[in-house]
Amino acid sequence: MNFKVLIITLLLPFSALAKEELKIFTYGSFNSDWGPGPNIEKEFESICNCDLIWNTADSSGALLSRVKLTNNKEGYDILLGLDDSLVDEAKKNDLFIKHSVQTDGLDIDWNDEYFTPFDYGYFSFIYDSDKLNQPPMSFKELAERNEISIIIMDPRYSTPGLGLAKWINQIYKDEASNFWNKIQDQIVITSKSWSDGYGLFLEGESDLVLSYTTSPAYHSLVEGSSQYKSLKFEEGHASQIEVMGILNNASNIDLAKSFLEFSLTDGFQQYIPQGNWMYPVLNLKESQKEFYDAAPLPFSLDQVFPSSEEKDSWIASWEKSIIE
Amino acid sequence: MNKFYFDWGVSFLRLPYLIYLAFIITLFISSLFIFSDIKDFKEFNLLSYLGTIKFTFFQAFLACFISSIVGFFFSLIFYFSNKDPRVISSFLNFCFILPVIFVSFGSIFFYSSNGILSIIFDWLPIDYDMKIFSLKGIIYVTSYFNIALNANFFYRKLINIPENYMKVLQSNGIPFLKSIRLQLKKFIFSGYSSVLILSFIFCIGNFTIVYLLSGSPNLTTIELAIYQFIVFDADLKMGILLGITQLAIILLISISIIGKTTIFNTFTTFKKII
Repeated sequence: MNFKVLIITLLLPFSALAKEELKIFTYGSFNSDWGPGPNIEKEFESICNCDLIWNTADSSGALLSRVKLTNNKEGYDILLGLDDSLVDEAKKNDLFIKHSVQTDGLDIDWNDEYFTPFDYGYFSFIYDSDKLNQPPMSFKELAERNEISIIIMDPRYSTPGLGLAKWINQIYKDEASNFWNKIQDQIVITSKSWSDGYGLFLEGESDLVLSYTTSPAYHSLVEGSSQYKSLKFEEGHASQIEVMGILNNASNIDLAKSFLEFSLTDGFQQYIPQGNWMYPVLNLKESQKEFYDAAPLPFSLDQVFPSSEEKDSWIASWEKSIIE
Repeated sequence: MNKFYFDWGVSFLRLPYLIYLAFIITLFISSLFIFSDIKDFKEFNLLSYLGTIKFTFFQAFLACFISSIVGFFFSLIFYFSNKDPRVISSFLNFCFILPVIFVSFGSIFFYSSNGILSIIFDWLPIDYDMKIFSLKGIIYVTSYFNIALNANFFYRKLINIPENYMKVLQSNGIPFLKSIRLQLKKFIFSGYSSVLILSFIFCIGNFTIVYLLSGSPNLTTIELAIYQFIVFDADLKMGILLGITQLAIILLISISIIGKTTIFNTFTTFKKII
Protein backbone atom coordinates (compact mmCIF):
# COMPACT_ATOMS: atom_id res chain seq x y z
CA MET A 1 0.00 0.00 0.00
CA ASN A 2 2.79 2.36 0.98
CA PHE A 3 4.57 1.50 -2.21
CA LYS A 4 1.51 2.61 -4.27
CA VAL A 5 1.34 5.89 -2.36
CA LEU A 6 5.03 6.42 -3.04
CA ILE A 7 4.60 5.84 -6.78
CA ILE A 8 1.60 8.21 -6.95
CA THR A 9 3.49 10.86 -5.02
CA LEU A 10 6.46 10.58 -7.34
CA LEU A 11 4.29 10.77 -10.47
CA LEU A 12 2.14 13.70 -9.26
CA PRO A 13 4.61 16.45 -10.30
CA PHE A 14 4.79 14.95 -13.80
CA SER A 15 1.01 15.04 -14.21
CA ALA A 16 1.02 18.68 -13.17
CA LEU A 17 3.59 19.36 -15.87
CA ALA A 18 1.59 17.54 -18.57
CA LYS A 19 0.23 19.80 -21.26
CA GLU A 20 -3.41 20.01 -22.20
CA GLU A 21 -4.37 18.05 -25.28
CA LEU A 22 -6.53 19.09 -28.20
CA LYS A 23 -7.71 16.20 -30.35
CA ILE A 24 -8.63 17.09 -33.90
CA PHE A 25 -10.27 14.64 -36.28
CA THR A 26 -9.66 15.42 -39.94
CA TYR A 27 -9.11 13.83 -43.34
CA GLY A 28 -5.73 12.26 -44.15
CA SER A 29 -4.35 14.76 -46.65
CA PHE A 30 -4.83 17.69 -44.25
CA ASN A 31 -2.28 16.25 -41.85
CA SER A 32 -0.01 14.65 -44.43
CA ASP A 33 3.63 15.72 -44.79
CA TRP A 34 2.68 17.99 -47.69
CA GLY A 35 -0.58 19.21 -46.10
CA PRO A 36 -1.03 22.25 -43.87
CA GLY A 37 -1.47 20.25 -40.64
CA PRO A 38 2.16 20.04 -39.43
CA ASN A 39 2.76 23.80 -39.86
CA ILE A 40 -0.56 24.71 -38.24
CA GLU A 41 0.30 22.42 -35.35
CA LYS A 42 3.60 24.23 -34.77
CA GLU A 43 1.95 27.66 -34.94
CA PHE A 44 -0.87 26.77 -32.55
CA GLU A 45 1.32 24.92 -30.05
CA SER A 46 3.61 27.95 -29.84
CA ILE A 47 0.74 30.05 -28.49
CA CYS A 48 -1.45 27.58 -26.57
CA ASN A 49 1.07 25.62 -24.46
CA CYS A 50 -0.79 22.49 -25.44
CA ASP A 51 -0.37 19.32 -27.46
CA LEU A 52 -2.30 19.22 -30.69
CA ILE A 53 -3.13 15.63 -31.61
CA TRP A 54 -4.34 14.81 -35.11
CA ASN A 55 -6.46 11.80 -35.93
CA THR A 56 -7.35 11.11 -39.49
CA ALA A 57 -9.92 9.28 -41.60
CA ASP A 58 -9.34 8.17 -45.19
CA SER A 59 -11.50 10.87 -46.67
CA SER A 60 -13.64 13.80 -45.61
CA GLY A 61 -16.73 11.74 -46.50
CA ALA A 62 -15.90 9.27 -43.76
CA LEU A 63 -15.43 11.87 -41.00
CA LEU A 64 -19.05 12.50 -40.13
CA SER A 65 -19.95 8.86 -40.51
CA ARG A 66 -17.27 7.80 -38.01
CA VAL A 67 -18.38 10.33 -35.41
CA LYS A 68 -22.01 9.30 -35.92
CA LEU A 69 -21.19 5.61 -35.56
CA THR A 70 -19.15 6.03 -32.40
CA ASN A 71 -21.11 8.98 -31.01
CA ASN A 72 -17.64 10.49 -30.57
CA LYS A 73 -16.70 7.95 -27.90
CA GLU A 74 -13.17 8.32 -29.29
CA GLY A 75 -13.09 11.70 -27.57
CA TYR A 76 -12.25 14.14 -30.35
CA ASP A 77 -12.58 17.84 -29.57
CA ILE A 78 -12.85 19.23 -33.09
CA LEU A 79 -13.98 17.79 -36.40
CA LEU A 80 -12.12 19.61 -39.17
CA GLY A 81 -12.91 19.20 -42.86
CA LEU A 82 -16.65 18.85 -43.17
CA ASP A 83 -18.13 19.97 -46.48
CA ASP A 84 -20.83 22.68 -46.38
CA SER A 85 -23.27 20.21 -47.97
CA LEU A 86 -22.99 18.00 -44.90
CA VAL A 87 -23.54 20.75 -42.34
CA ASP A 88 -27.32 20.24 -42.11
CA GLU A 89 -26.93 16.50 -41.61
CA ALA A 90 -24.28 17.10 -38.93
CA LYS A 91 -26.57 19.47 -37.05
CA LYS A 92 -29.49 17.05 -37.21
CA ASN A 93 -27.42 14.41 -35.47
CA ASP A 94 -26.84 16.71 -32.53
CA LEU A 95 -23.11 16.05 -32.51
CA PHE A 96 -21.78 19.61 -32.29
CA ILE A 97 -22.02 22.54 -29.89
CA LYS A 98 -22.44 26.22 -30.73
CA HIS A 99 -19.38 28.38 -31.01
CA SER A 100 -18.98 32.07 -30.23
CA VAL A 101 -16.37 32.91 -32.86
CA GLN A 102 -16.83 36.09 -34.90
CA THR A 103 -16.98 35.27 -38.62
CA ASP A 104 -17.43 38.81 -39.95
CA GLY A 105 -15.04 40.23 -42.51
CA LEU A 106 -14.22 36.94 -44.19
CA ASP A 107 -13.75 36.52 -47.92
CA ILE A 108 -17.01 34.53 -48.04
CA ASP A 109 -20.46 35.11 -46.55
CA TRP A 110 -20.74 32.90 -43.52
CA ASN A 111 -23.16 32.90 -40.64
CA ASP A 112 -23.51 29.64 -38.78
CA GLU A 113 -23.63 29.15 -35.04
CA TYR A 114 -22.16 25.62 -35.08
CA PHE A 115 -19.39 25.70 -37.69
CA THR A 116 -16.64 28.06 -38.78
CA PRO A 117 -15.16 27.98 -42.30
CA PHE A 118 -11.43 27.55 -42.85
CA ASP A 119 -11.12 27.38 -46.64
CA TYR A 120 -13.16 27.32 -49.79
CA GLY A 121 -12.82 26.34 -53.43
CA TYR A 122 -14.66 25.99 -56.71
CA PHE A 123 -15.34 22.71 -58.46
CA SER A 124 -13.99 22.39 -61.93
CA PHE A 125 -12.77 19.90 -64.50
CA ILE A 126 -9.02 19.69 -65.05
CA TYR A 127 -7.54 18.80 -68.42
CA ASP A 128 -4.11 18.21 -69.90
CA SER A 129 -3.61 20.98 -72.45
CA ASP A 130 -0.98 18.87 -74.24
CA LYS A 131 -3.63 16.26 -75.04
CA LEU A 132 -6.89 18.23 -75.28
CA ASN A 133 -6.46 21.21 -77.58
CA GLN A 134 -10.01 22.49 -77.65
CA PRO A 135 -11.52 22.10 -74.20
CA PRO A 136 -15.30 22.46 -73.77
CA MET A 137 -16.45 25.84 -72.48
CA SER A 138 -19.76 24.77 -70.97
CA PHE A 139 -21.63 21.77 -69.61
CA LYS A 140 -23.73 21.84 -72.77
CA GLU A 141 -20.67 21.52 -74.98
CA LEU A 142 -19.22 18.85 -72.71
CA ALA A 143 -22.36 16.71 -73.10
CA GLU A 144 -22.36 17.20 -76.88
CA ARG A 145 -18.75 16.10 -77.33
CA ASN A 146 -19.01 12.38 -76.77
CA GLU A 147 -15.33 11.78 -77.50
CA ILE A 148 -14.29 13.50 -74.26
CA SER A 149 -13.82 11.02 -71.42
CA ILE A 150 -14.37 12.07 -67.81
CA ILE A 151 -13.43 10.76 -64.38
CA ILE A 152 -15.81 11.79 -61.61
CA MET A 153 -16.16 10.80 -57.97
CA ASP A 154 -19.05 8.95 -56.36
CA PRO A 155 -21.35 11.63 -54.82
CA ARG A 156 -22.31 9.26 -52.01
CA TYR A 157 -18.76 8.94 -50.70
CA SER A 158 -16.70 11.86 -51.96
CA THR A 159 -17.24 15.56 -51.37
CA PRO A 160 -16.07 16.60 -54.88
CA GLY A 161 -18.52 14.00 -56.23
CA LEU A 162 -21.28 15.53 -54.15
CA GLY A 163 -20.08 18.95 -55.30
CA LEU A 164 -20.59 17.94 -58.94
CA ALA A 165 -24.11 16.73 -58.14
CA LYS A 166 -24.77 20.12 -56.51
CA TRP A 167 -23.24 21.97 -59.48
CA ILE A 168 -25.37 20.10 -62.03
CA ASN A 169 -28.52 20.55 -59.94
CA GLN A 170 -27.83 24.28 -59.55
CA ILE A 171 -27.62 24.65 -63.33
CA TYR A 172 -30.13 22.12 -64.62
CA LYS A 173 -32.53 21.91 -61.65
CA ASP A 174 -35.34 19.47 -62.60
CA GLU A 175 -33.48 18.48 -65.76
CA ALA A 176 -30.40 17.35 -63.81
CA SER A 177 -31.22 13.70 -64.27
CA ASN A 178 -31.42 14.17 -68.06
CA PHE A 179 -28.02 15.83 -68.06
CA TRP A 180 -26.54 12.95 -66.07
CA ASN A 181 -28.00 10.59 -68.69
CA LYS A 182 -26.35 12.55 -71.50
CA ILE A 183 -22.84 12.38 -70.01
CA GLN A 184 -23.14 8.81 -68.70
CA ASP A 185 -21.25 7.25 -71.62
CA GLN A 186 -18.42 9.74 -71.24
CA ILE A 187 -17.79 8.83 -67.61
CA VAL A 188 -15.05 6.22 -67.76
CA ILE A 189 -14.50 5.88 -64.03
CA THR A 190 -16.55 6.88 -60.99
CA SER A 191 -13.89 6.70 -58.31
CA LYS A 192 -14.45 6.32 -54.58
CA SER A 193 -12.27 9.26 -53.67
CA TRP A 194 -10.77 12.40 -55.21
CA SER A 195 -7.21 11.12 -54.82
CA ASP A 196 -8.02 7.82 -56.65
CA GLY A 197 -9.72 9.66 -59.50
CA TYR A 198 -7.08 12.36 -59.83
CA GLY A 199 -4.28 9.78 -59.77
CA LEU A 200 -5.92 7.85 -62.61
CA PHE A 201 -6.31 11.06 -64.62
CA LEU A 202 -2.60 11.78 -64.21
CA GLU A 203 -1.95 8.24 -65.46
CA GLY A 204 -3.79 9.19 -68.65
CA GLU A 205 -7.05 7.30 -68.07
CA SER A 206 -9.29 10.20 -69.15
CA ASP A 207 -9.38 13.63 -70.80
CA LEU A 208 -11.02 15.41 -67.85
CA VAL A 209 -11.18 14.87 -64.13
CA LEU A 210 -13.42 16.47 -61.56
CA SER A 211 -11.36 18.56 -59.18
CA TYR A 212 -10.98 22.18 -58.08
CA THR A 213 -9.97 25.37 -59.91
CA THR A 214 -6.96 25.43 -57.59
CA SER A 215 -5.52 22.08 -58.77
CA PRO A 216 -3.46 23.60 -61.63
CA ALA A 217 -1.77 25.86 -59.06
CA TYR A 218 -0.23 22.78 -57.43
CA HIS A 219 1.20 21.55 -60.75
CA SER A 220 2.44 25.01 -61.57
CA LEU A 221 3.97 26.04 -58.23
CA VAL A 222 5.24 22.67 -57.00
CA GLU A 223 6.05 20.77 -60.19
CA GLY A 224 6.68 23.76 -62.44
CA SER A 225 4.28 22.27 -64.98
CA SER A 226 1.72 24.40 -66.79
CA GLN A 227 0.09 21.66 -68.90
CA TYR A 228 -2.79 21.02 -66.48
CA LYS A 229 -5.53 23.62 -66.69
CA SER A 230 -8.96 24.18 -65.26
CA LEU A 231 -12.02 24.47 -67.54
CA LYS A 232 -13.83 27.78 -67.33
CA PHE A 233 -17.53 27.04 -67.73
CA GLU A 234 -19.71 29.93 -68.85
CA GLU A 235 -22.57 28.66 -66.63
CA GLY A 236 -20.38 29.36 -63.57
CA HIS A 237 -18.72 27.13 -60.98
CA ALA A 238 -20.23 25.73 -57.79
CA SER A 239 -18.34 26.37 -54.59
CA GLN A 240 -17.36 24.29 -51.61
CA ILE A 241 -16.68 25.62 -48.14
CA GLU A 242 -14.81 23.43 -45.69
CA VAL A 243 -15.73 23.92 -42.06
CA MET A 244 -14.81 22.80 -38.57
CA GLY A 245 -16.88 22.46 -35.43
CA ILE A 246 -16.58 21.55 -31.75
CA LEU A 247 -17.96 18.11 -30.89
CA ASN A 248 -20.53 18.09 -28.11
CA ASN A 249 -18.62 15.74 -25.83
CA ALA A 250 -15.28 17.48 -26.34
CA SER A 251 -13.05 17.13 -23.33
CA ASN A 252 -11.43 20.54 -23.70
CA ILE A 253 -14.02 23.02 -24.95
CA ASP A 254 -12.08 26.19 -24.09
CA LEU A 255 -9.03 25.02 -25.98
CA ALA A 256 -11.23 23.96 -28.89
CA LYS A 257 -12.81 27.43 -28.99
CA SER A 258 -9.39 29.05 -29.05
CA PHE A 259 -8.41 26.80 -31.97
CA LEU A 260 -11.51 27.89 -33.89
CA GLU A 261 -10.53 31.52 -33.26
CA PHE A 262 -6.95 30.75 -34.31
CA SER A 263 -8.24 29.17 -37.56
CA LEU A 264 -9.46 32.59 -38.68
CA THR A 265 -6.05 34.27 -38.25
CA ASP A 266 -3.03 34.55 -40.54
CA GLY A 267 -1.22 31.94 -38.46
CA PHE A 268 -3.61 29.25 -39.75
CA GLN A 269 -4.77 30.72 -43.04
CA GLN A 270 -1.29 31.33 -44.51
CA TYR A 271 -0.79 27.55 -44.84
CA ILE A 272 -4.07 26.89 -46.66
CA PRO A 273 -3.28 28.07 -50.23
CA GLN A 274 -0.10 26.09 -50.74
CA GLY A 275 -0.84 23.37 -48.19
CA ASN A 276 -4.46 22.40 -48.71
CA TRP A 277 -4.57 23.99 -52.19
CA MET A 278 -7.80 25.83 -51.52
CA TYR A 279 -8.61 29.53 -51.15
CA PRO A 280 -8.17 30.88 -47.61
CA VAL A 281 -11.23 32.48 -46.02
CA LEU A 282 -9.15 35.53 -45.10
CA ASN A 283 -8.17 37.89 -47.87
CA LEU A 284 -4.54 36.97 -48.52
CA LYS A 285 -4.44 38.10 -52.15
CA GLU A 286 -1.36 40.22 -51.56
CA SER A 287 0.74 37.81 -49.52
CA GLN A 288 -0.30 34.80 -51.67
CA LYS A 289 -0.17 36.57 -55.03
CA GLU A 290 1.54 33.72 -56.90
CA PHE A 291 -1.16 31.30 -55.73
CA TYR A 292 -4.01 33.54 -56.88
CA ASP A 293 -2.21 34.13 -60.20
CA ALA A 294 -1.93 30.37 -60.75
CA ALA A 295 -5.53 29.77 -59.60
CA PRO A 296 -7.67 32.80 -60.44
CA LEU A 297 -11.14 32.91 -58.92
CA PRO A 298 -13.71 31.68 -61.46
CA PHE A 299 -17.22 32.98 -62.20
CA SER A 300 -19.11 31.68 -59.20
CA LEU A 301 -22.64 30.37 -58.85
CA ASP A 302 -24.61 31.39 -55.75
CA GLN A 303 -23.54 29.72 -52.54
CA VAL A 304 -26.04 26.98 -51.60
CA PHE A 305 -26.51 25.58 -48.11
CA PRO A 306 -28.62 22.51 -48.78
CA SER A 307 -30.77 20.59 -46.35
CA SER A 308 -29.96 16.89 -46.06
CA GLU A 309 -33.15 16.19 -48.08
CA GLU A 310 -31.89 18.40 -50.93
CA LYS A 311 -28.54 16.65 -50.80
CA ASP A 312 -30.32 13.29 -51.02
CA SER A 313 -32.32 14.51 -54.02
CA TRP A 314 -29.09 15.47 -55.84
CA ILE A 315 -27.72 12.01 -55.25
CA ALA A 316 -31.04 10.46 -56.28
CA SER A 317 -30.98 12.23 -59.65
CA TRP A 318 -27.49 10.86 -60.25
CA GLU A 319 -28.50 7.35 -59.15
CA LYS A 320 -31.56 7.49 -61.40
CA SER A 321 -29.40 8.13 -64.46
CA ILE A 322 -27.19 5.15 -63.62
CA ILE A 323 -30.09 2.75 -63.10
CA GLU A 324 -31.69 3.90 -66.37
CA MET B 1 -18.86 -45.10 -17.84
CA ASN B 2 -17.36 -45.65 -21.27
CA LYS B 3 -20.75 -44.88 -22.80
CA PHE B 4 -20.76 -41.56 -20.91
CA TYR B 5 -17.35 -40.55 -22.26
CA PHE B 6 -18.34 -41.69 -25.74
CA ASP B 7 -21.54 -39.60 -25.65
CA TRP B 8 -19.61 -36.64 -24.29
CA GLY B 9 -17.04 -37.01 -27.10
CA VAL B 10 -19.74 -37.13 -29.76
CA SER B 11 -21.41 -34.04 -28.27
CA PHE B 12 -18.06 -32.28 -28.32
CA LEU B 13 -17.66 -33.11 -32.01
CA ARG B 14 -21.07 -31.58 -32.63
CA LEU B 15 -20.09 -28.39 -30.84
CA PRO B 16 -18.74 -26.45 -33.87
CA TYR B 17 -21.95 -27.19 -35.77
CA LEU B 18 -24.07 -26.07 -32.84
CA ILE B 19 -22.07 -22.87 -32.38
CA TYR B 20 -22.36 -22.16 -36.09
CA LEU B 21 -26.10 -22.86 -35.98
CA ALA B 22 -26.53 -20.58 -32.94
CA PHE B 23 -24.56 -17.86 -34.68
CA ILE B 24 -26.77 -18.03 -37.77
CA ILE B 25 -29.99 -18.09 -35.72
CA THR B 26 -28.79 -15.06 -33.72
CA LEU B 27 -28.03 -13.20 -36.94
CA PHE B 28 -31.44 -14.00 -38.40
CA ILE B 29 -33.25 -12.97 -35.23
CA SER B 30 -31.31 -9.72 -35.09
CA SER B 31 -32.33 -9.13 -38.69
CA LEU B 32 -35.97 -8.97 -37.58
CA PHE B 33 -35.15 -5.76 -35.73
CA ILE B 34 -33.56 -4.11 -38.73
CA PHE B 35 -36.73 -2.56 -40.07
CA SER B 36 -38.49 -2.18 -36.75
CA ASP B 37 -38.61 1.59 -37.33
CA ILE B 38 -41.17 2.34 -40.04
CA LYS B 39 -39.17 5.37 -41.21
CA ASP B 40 -36.45 3.06 -42.48
CA PHE B 41 -38.72 1.75 -45.22
CA LYS B 42 -38.65 5.17 -46.84
CA GLU B 43 -34.87 5.25 -46.86
CA PHE B 44 -34.48 1.72 -48.13
CA ASN B 45 -33.37 1.75 -51.76
CA LEU B 46 -34.72 -1.54 -53.10
CA LEU B 47 -33.30 -1.06 -56.61
CA SER B 48 -29.80 -0.43 -55.28
CA TYR B 49 -30.10 -3.41 -52.87
CA LEU B 50 -31.26 -5.81 -55.57
CA GLY B 51 -28.71 -4.41 -58.04
CA THR B 52 -25.87 -5.10 -55.61
CA ILE B 53 -27.03 -8.68 -54.99
CA LYS B 54 -27.52 -9.27 -58.71
CA PHE B 55 -24.05 -8.00 -59.59
CA THR B 56 -22.36 -9.93 -56.77
CA PHE B 57 -23.73 -13.26 -57.92
CA PHE B 58 -23.46 -12.45 -61.61
CA GLN B 59 -19.74 -11.70 -61.39
CA ALA B 60 -19.19 -14.70 -59.11
CA PHE B 61 -20.95 -17.14 -61.49
CA LEU B 62 -19.19 -15.65 -64.51
CA ALA B 63 -15.74 -15.77 -62.90
CA CYS B 64 -16.34 -19.37 -61.67
CA PHE B 65 -17.57 -20.48 -65.08
CA ILE B 66 -14.65 -18.93 -66.98
CA SER B 67 -12.03 -20.10 -64.51
CA SER B 68 -13.40 -23.69 -64.52
CA ILE B 69 -13.10 -23.98 -68.29
CA VAL B 70 -9.78 -22.16 -68.62
CA GLY B 71 -8.40 -23.96 -65.55
CA PHE B 72 -9.30 -27.34 -67.08
CA PHE B 73 -7.53 -26.48 -70.34
CA PHE B 74 -4.47 -25.26 -68.45
CA SER B 75 -4.40 -28.53 -66.52
CA LEU B 76 -4.39 -30.46 -69.81
CA ILE B 77 -1.52 -28.32 -71.11
CA PHE B 78 0.47 -28.97 -67.93
CA TYR B 79 -0.39 -32.68 -68.04
CA PHE B 80 0.86 -33.11 -71.61
CA SER B 81 3.95 -30.99 -70.96
CA ASN B 82 5.37 -33.89 -68.89
CA LYS B 83 7.14 -31.49 -66.55
CA ASP B 84 7.87 -32.32 -62.92
CA PRO B 85 4.46 -32.31 -61.16
CA ARG B 86 6.01 -30.70 -58.07
CA VAL B 87 7.22 -27.74 -60.12
CA ILE B 88 3.81 -27.29 -61.79
CA SER B 89 1.93 -27.58 -58.49
CA SER B 90 4.28 -25.08 -56.83
CA PHE B 91 3.81 -22.68 -59.72
CA LEU B 92 0.00 -22.94 -59.50
CA ASN B 93 0.02 -22.57 -55.73
CA PHE B 94 2.26 -19.53 -56.07
CA CYS B 95 -0.29 -17.93 -58.47
CA PHE B 96 -3.05 -18.58 -55.96
CA ILE B 97 -1.27 -17.12 -52.93
CA LEU B 98 -0.14 -13.88 -54.57
CA PRO B 99 -1.63 -10.86 -52.74
CA VAL B 100 -4.84 -9.70 -54.41
CA ILE B 101 -3.71 -6.08 -54.37
CA PHE B 102 -0.45 -7.03 -56.11
CA VAL B 103 -2.29 -8.77 -58.95
CA SER B 104 -4.84 -5.93 -59.21
CA PHE B 105 -2.19 -3.22 -59.49
CA GLY B 106 -0.20 -5.42 -61.86
CA SER B 107 -3.26 -5.70 -64.11
CA ILE B 108 -3.76 -1.92 -64.04
CA PHE B 109 -0.07 -1.44 -64.90
CA PHE B 110 -0.32 -3.89 -67.77
CA TYR B 111 -3.81 -3.42 -69.22
CA SER B 112 -4.87 0.19 -68.50
CA SER B 113 -5.18 2.79 -71.28
CA ASN B 114 -1.67 3.93 -70.43
CA GLY B 115 -0.29 0.49 -69.57
CA ILE B 116 2.34 -1.69 -71.20
CA LEU B 117 -0.10 -3.42 -73.56
CA SER B 118 -1.45 -0.06 -74.72
CA ILE B 119 2.10 1.14 -75.48
CA ILE B 120 2.85 -2.03 -77.48
CA PHE B 121 -0.41 -1.78 -79.46
CA ASP B 122 0.25 1.89 -80.05
CA TRP B 123 3.67 1.05 -81.41
CA LEU B 124 2.32 -1.63 -83.81
CA PRO B 125 -0.09 0.41 -84.46
CA ILE B 126 -3.37 -1.29 -83.50
CA ASP B 127 -6.35 0.26 -81.73
CA TYR B 128 -6.38 -0.73 -78.09
CA ASP B 129 -9.60 -0.40 -76.15
CA MET B 130 -9.35 -2.62 -73.08
CA LYS B 131 -11.05 -0.98 -70.12
CA ILE B 132 -9.55 -2.49 -66.99
CA PHE B 133 -11.83 -0.42 -64.74
CA SER B 134 -14.91 -2.37 -65.71
CA LEU B 135 -16.61 -5.75 -65.35
CA LYS B 136 -13.99 -7.15 -67.75
CA GLY B 137 -11.20 -6.10 -65.38
CA ILE B 138 -12.96 -7.51 -62.32
CA ILE B 139 -13.63 -10.86 -64.03
CA TYR B 140 -10.09 -11.00 -65.40
CA VAL B 141 -8.37 -10.54 -62.02
CA THR B 142 -10.89 -12.69 -60.12
CA SER B 143 -10.52 -15.48 -62.68
CA TYR B 144 -6.73 -15.28 -62.44
CA PHE B 145 -6.83 -16.69 -58.91
CA ASN B 146 -9.55 -19.22 -59.63
CA ILE B 147 -7.88 -20.50 -62.79
CA ALA B 148 -4.84 -21.42 -60.70
CA LEU B 149 -7.06 -23.18 -58.14
CA ASN B 150 -9.02 -25.07 -60.78
CA ALA B 151 -5.97 -25.96 -62.87
CA ASN B 152 -4.22 -27.33 -59.79
CA PHE B 153 -7.24 -29.47 -58.89
CA PHE B 154 -7.66 -30.92 -62.39
CA TYR B 155 -3.93 -31.40 -62.85
CA ARG B 156 -3.69 -33.44 -59.64
CA LYS B 157 -6.63 -35.55 -60.77
CA LEU B 158 -5.04 -36.14 -64.17
CA ILE B 159 -1.64 -37.20 -62.83
CA ASN B 160 -3.34 -39.55 -60.38
CA ILE B 161 -5.05 -41.55 -63.12
CA PRO B 162 -3.53 -45.05 -62.93
CA GLU B 163 -1.02 -45.64 -65.69
CA ASN B 164 -2.49 -49.06 -66.52
CA TYR B 165 -5.88 -47.53 -67.07
CA MET B 166 -4.44 -45.07 -69.56
CA LYS B 167 -2.58 -47.89 -71.33
CA VAL B 168 -5.78 -49.88 -71.69
CA LEU B 169 -7.56 -46.88 -73.19
CA GLN B 170 -4.66 -46.23 -75.58
CA SER B 171 -4.47 -49.89 -76.63
CA ASN B 172 -8.15 -49.69 -77.53
CA GLY B 173 -7.37 -46.71 -79.74
CA ILE B 174 -9.45 -44.23 -77.74
CA PRO B 175 -8.05 -40.66 -78.00
CA PHE B 176 -7.29 -38.98 -74.69
CA LEU B 177 -9.96 -36.26 -74.88
CA LYS B 178 -12.61 -38.81 -75.89
CA SER B 179 -11.55 -41.07 -73.05
CA ILE B 180 -12.07 -38.15 -70.65
CA ARG B 181 -15.56 -37.62 -72.04
CA LEU B 182 -16.47 -41.31 -71.97
CA GLN B 183 -14.58 -42.84 -69.12
CA LEU B 184 -12.69 -40.43 -66.94
CA LYS B 185 -15.06 -37.55 -66.27
CA LYS B 186 -16.41 -39.04 -63.06
CA PHE B 187 -12.88 -39.67 -61.91
CA ILE B 188 -11.61 -36.19 -62.79
CA PHE B 189 -14.63 -34.29 -61.52
CA SER B 190 -15.10 -36.24 -58.28
CA GLY B 191 -14.72 -33.83 -55.37
CA TYR B 192 -14.93 -30.85 -57.70
CA SER B 193 -18.00 -29.46 -55.90
CA SER B 194 -15.84 -28.42 -52.94
CA VAL B 195 -13.40 -26.56 -55.23
CA LEU B 196 -16.36 -24.95 -56.98
CA ILE B 197 -17.81 -23.79 -53.67
CA LEU B 198 -14.43 -22.47 -52.52
CA SER B 199 -13.90 -20.45 -55.69
CA PHE B 200 -17.54 -19.29 -55.63
CA ILE B 201 -17.20 -18.02 -52.07
CA PHE B 202 -13.90 -16.36 -53.02
CA CYS B 203 -15.69 -14.59 -55.90
CA ILE B 204 -18.66 -13.56 -53.77
CA GLY B 205 -16.39 -12.15 -51.09
CA ASN B 206 -14.69 -10.03 -53.72
CA PHE B 207 -13.68 -6.77 -52.07
CA THR B 208 -10.21 -5.54 -53.00
CA ILE B 209 -10.56 -6.32 -56.70
CA VAL B 210 -13.94 -4.62 -56.97
CA TYR B 211 -12.80 -1.70 -54.80
CA LEU B 212 -9.85 -1.07 -57.12
CA LEU B 213 -11.33 -1.94 -60.49
CA SER B 214 -15.03 -1.06 -60.39
CA GLY B 215 -15.25 2.07 -62.49
CA SER B 216 -18.93 2.49 -61.85
CA PRO B 217 -21.30 2.41 -58.87
CA ASN B 218 -23.23 -0.31 -60.72
CA LEU B 219 -20.28 -2.62 -60.21
CA THR B 220 -20.59 -3.04 -56.46
CA THR B 221 -20.47 -6.34 -54.62
CA ILE B 222 -22.20 -7.00 -51.31
CA GLU B 223 -18.88 -6.85 -49.43
CA LEU B 224 -18.01 -3.47 -50.93
CA ALA B 225 -21.53 -2.16 -50.31
CA ILE B 226 -21.30 -3.20 -46.64
CA TYR B 227 -17.98 -1.31 -46.33
CA GLN B 228 -19.46 1.78 -47.98
CA PHE B 229 -22.67 1.74 -45.94
CA ILE B 230 -20.72 1.53 -42.68
CA VAL B 231 -17.72 3.76 -43.42
CA PHE B 232 -19.43 6.53 -45.38
CA ASP B 233 -23.12 6.37 -44.44
CA ALA B 234 -22.87 5.14 -40.83
CA ASP B 235 -25.74 2.83 -41.84
CA LEU B 236 -25.24 -0.31 -39.79
CA LYS B 237 -28.71 -1.59 -40.59
CA MET B 238 -28.08 -1.81 -44.31
CA GLY B 239 -24.68 -3.38 -43.61
CA ILE B 240 -26.31 -6.07 -41.45
CA LEU B 241 -29.10 -6.66 -43.96
CA LEU B 242 -26.63 -7.14 -46.81
CA GLY B 243 -24.43 -9.39 -44.66
CA ILE B 244 -27.39 -11.62 -43.77
CA THR B 245 -28.51 -11.73 -47.38
CA GLN B 246 -25.06 -12.87 -48.46
CA LEU B 247 -24.87 -15.45 -45.68
CA ALA B 248 -28.32 -16.83 -46.50
CA ILE B 249 -27.64 -17.16 -50.21
CA ILE B 250 -24.22 -18.77 -49.71
CA LEU B 251 -25.74 -21.22 -47.23
CA LEU B 252 -28.49 -22.17 -49.67
CA ILE B 253 -26.03 -22.69 -52.49
CA SER B 254 -23.55 -24.57 -50.29
CA ILE B 255 -26.22 -26.89 -48.93
CA SER B 256 -27.66 -27.50 -52.36
CA ILE B 257 -24.25 -28.45 -53.79
CA ILE B 258 -22.29 -30.12 -51.02
CA GLY B 259 -24.75 -30.23 -48.13
CA LYS B 260 -25.78 -33.81 -48.73
CA THR B 261 -22.22 -35.03 -48.85
CA THR B 262 -20.79 -33.07 -45.96
CA ILE B 263 -23.17 -31.63 -43.38
CA PHE B 264 -25.96 -34.20 -43.53
CA ASN B 265 -23.58 -37.14 -43.79
CA THR B 266 -21.81 -35.92 -40.67
CA PHE B 267 -25.07 -35.83 -38.73
CA THR B 268 -26.09 -39.20 -40.13
CA THR B 269 -22.75 -40.62 -39.01
CA PHE B 270 -23.33 -39.22 -35.52
CA LYS B 271 -26.77 -40.77 -35.43
CA LYS B 272 -25.39 -44.13 -36.50
CA ILE B 273 -22.69 -43.95 -33.82
CA ILE B 274 -25.19 -43.01 -31.15
